[in-house]
Amino acid sequence: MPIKSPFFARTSALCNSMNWKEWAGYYAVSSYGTLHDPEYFAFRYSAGLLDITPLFKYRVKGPDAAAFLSRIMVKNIHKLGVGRVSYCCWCTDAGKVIDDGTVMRRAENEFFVTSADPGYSWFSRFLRGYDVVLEEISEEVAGLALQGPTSRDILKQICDADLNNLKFFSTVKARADGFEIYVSRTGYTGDLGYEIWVENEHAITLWDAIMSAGKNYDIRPAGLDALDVTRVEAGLILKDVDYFNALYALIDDRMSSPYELSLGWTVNLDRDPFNGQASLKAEKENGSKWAIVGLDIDWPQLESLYAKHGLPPEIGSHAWRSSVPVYISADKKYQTGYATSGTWSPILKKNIALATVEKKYENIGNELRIEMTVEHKRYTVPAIISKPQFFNPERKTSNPNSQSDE
Amino acid sequence: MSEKYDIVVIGGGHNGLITATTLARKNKRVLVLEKRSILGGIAAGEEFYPGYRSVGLLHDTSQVRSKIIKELDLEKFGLQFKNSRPTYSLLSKNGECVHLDPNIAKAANEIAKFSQHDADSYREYHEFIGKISDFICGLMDNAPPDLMELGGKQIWELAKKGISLKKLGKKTMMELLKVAPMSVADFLNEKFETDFIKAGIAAPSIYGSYTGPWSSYTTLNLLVWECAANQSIVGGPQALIAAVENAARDAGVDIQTGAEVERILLDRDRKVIGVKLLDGEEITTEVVATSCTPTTTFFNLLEPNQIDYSLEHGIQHYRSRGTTAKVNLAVNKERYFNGEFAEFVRTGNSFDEMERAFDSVKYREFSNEPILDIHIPTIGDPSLAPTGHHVISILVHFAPHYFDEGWSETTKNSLYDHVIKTLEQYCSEISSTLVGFELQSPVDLEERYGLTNGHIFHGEHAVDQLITRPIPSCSRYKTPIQGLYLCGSGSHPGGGITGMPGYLGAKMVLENI
Repeated sequence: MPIKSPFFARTSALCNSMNWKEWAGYYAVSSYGTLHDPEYFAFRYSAGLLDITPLFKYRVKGPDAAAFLSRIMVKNIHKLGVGRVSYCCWCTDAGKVIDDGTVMRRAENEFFVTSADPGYSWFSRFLRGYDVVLEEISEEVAGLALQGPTSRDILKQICDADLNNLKFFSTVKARADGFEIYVSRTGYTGDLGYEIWVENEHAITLWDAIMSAGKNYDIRPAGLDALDVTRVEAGLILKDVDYFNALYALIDDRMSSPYELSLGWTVNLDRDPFNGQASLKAEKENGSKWAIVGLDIDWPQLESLYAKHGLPPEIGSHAWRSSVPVYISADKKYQTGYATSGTWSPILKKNIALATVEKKYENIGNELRIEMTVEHKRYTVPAIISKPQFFNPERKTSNPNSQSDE
Repeated sequence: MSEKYDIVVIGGGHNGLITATTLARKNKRVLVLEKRSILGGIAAGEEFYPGYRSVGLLHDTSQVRSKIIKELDLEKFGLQFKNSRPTYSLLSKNGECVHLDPNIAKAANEIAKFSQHDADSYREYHEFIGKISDFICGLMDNAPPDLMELGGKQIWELAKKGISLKKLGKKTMMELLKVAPMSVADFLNEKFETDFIKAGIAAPSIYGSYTGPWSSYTTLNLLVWECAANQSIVGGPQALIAAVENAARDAGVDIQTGAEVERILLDRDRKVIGVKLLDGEEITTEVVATSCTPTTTFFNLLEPNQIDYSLEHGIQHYRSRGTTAKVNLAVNKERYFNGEFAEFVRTGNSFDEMERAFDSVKYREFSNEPILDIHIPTIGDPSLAPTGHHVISILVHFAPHYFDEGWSETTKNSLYDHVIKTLEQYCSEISSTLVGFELQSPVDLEERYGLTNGHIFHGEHAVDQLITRPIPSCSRYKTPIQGLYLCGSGSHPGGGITGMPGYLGAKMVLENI
């Protein structure tokens, strides 16, 4: 049976829909209301508050902390400045992705790492030879994501962090009313937003402080259904949906390299050895088979398919996550890949998807065909390849007093 | 980087020196780096008490492979050897002693004094050994087949092995397939009736294998020993080292003692580019062959991030639990065992007692009544001790490296007392003739010889660790690190003084460079 997060007293009181799901062993709200749309719009137009406690959390401390993480991660963690955050993944010897997460450098020799799957067993295998202490702190630390255009103004009121100058993918220790928090400018919505980490005992106080400060900024507790729409809009991949943990994959075909997940930009190849380096070097040289792309699915054609059956377009407001074939032509003679998740984007007014396709078809603007089932019949409709980040507002990275950063 | 060598060999024990010599004789420029101030590794003789010298850790040279002696012309470099194993004397607690002469008929006649049945069985047993000997020695004297890349050549190698198995004839082949996985106790109980003779014959099968006589697959170890033990080097391990050193120098091998390697240097593609010594000196080479233990090689000589996880995991789980202690005694008189003159002596008395001796190490204790593998090297080489005095070299089974009480002077003295008490059962006046002694616990062996966890064979002789020794990805001397080769007892065919890992490691280097 799932367990309760330290915020459960508040989240359960607010969850009128009784719509819960299990996330990494915790009860997690899918949507607080019967419909998730208001929560989605909070993320995009005001602020949504999401309990992210179920993420796995690790503290890595000691003189060799950077070297230890650099051995595990595809990114050179030595180069991560104090107070900076890195999004990265970690691989097997064969260069296949195990999981992705964030690495935050809280001090010269102290890092905070989040992951989607339990990571201790993997990370701990590499402790030999490093002067470092690895601690799993998943159950000691609670987390909230405060995401949306008004998130900065809300957060400013409850802590002393210099948020006007906190850059995208930076983290800082801050003082709230009587307790300490870590704020990082990170999130899974592709919008302006923060993640806030707090010791369990202060979790409820933090929740109350944020909700109360957010009253005038249209804050709304938000669930995973709304998050799922935003993350597809932002082109952020999800483990077990868009790719599989290589350690759990039953067959090799279910394993992906960072390049195949279009995460090549996170890989620092030319440096001291790290897990998967040799395989990734070879792949870089010889080319990858797959790429993850965005698909912009043609609306008029979709509408006309429904019209053919005398129906209005039936597109749910939830993001979907199932494997849908992608072809190079309407005759379905050649399947080049598959879409793994998609959604109707309310803010873009587009029907979008994330898809894995053969590398040779990855070019932006290419037209492919995605399968569409209408009234029990399978058709295809055109889908134009685009950047996975369909929605990428300037506010995500900008600061009030300066030009956009990164 | 000062000098450049074709190959740098780490470790100047018998395997390291054999690797170096084999390579240098093929016109390679070879350097041997030995950490200690003397060559020989576990076969290095040392003064352990003023005026008394040991023969090193292991004292049995019966398994040295004649193929190597021939190919390296070791006789030309002073090696003298006999084409037969020494006589091993088996002791019982009831004062009995049987001498297993290398001549089977003679040994059987000895056994007949105790049991005609056992004498007949011994003849039959050695008939069987004689039939399988070529096959077993063939496995020992060749690199394990390459199963990873089954090309024409590899299939031919496999086929040859299959054919040689088939050549045994149906009866022998089926007998071998039947008995090899058996426990040595079950196997010998089928043949013999006298307890101390069974125990004495079985003894070599449980040395360094983390098994007792009732453990399965111990028969395989016994058969390998019986087939391979068919030499003896005059002058023991030191004579072998002296001859190989001469051969090495003659072939142009450079040898540095007191040269401890701190790191094997790799480039960013994890190819060997040299070695760095503790004193900071760097030596350029593209090939390193190491006769250190696999654990030392991968965990101490490389940076932690230089090996893949699969390799790390494999080496981490390579079992190398030391269970042997070493005692050297200095005595002022010739010693008899159960009243008989003997040079190589085995105690054990019965399977039950052997099994109990092994049991203790499972619970991280040493055996209160250990089984002893005894050799009196002064019989062959009186110069090791003052005139009329003797050295007794004893391998003590079993004493664990992982010892609950911890190894200290107190616990070592306690083990020593138990060894002497055990020995007194066979040689009652031993205490009164003692001049001095040295006891090395597995921790001491690790410290002195760099043996991981003090294991005398660089890793247990368990069947899985013999088939793909030490681990599958390194089982043909080549490692996943380009330019790094293994040539020590952690590789096929394993520990003991055979020279084969060093020789076959060198062959693999030659095949690949």
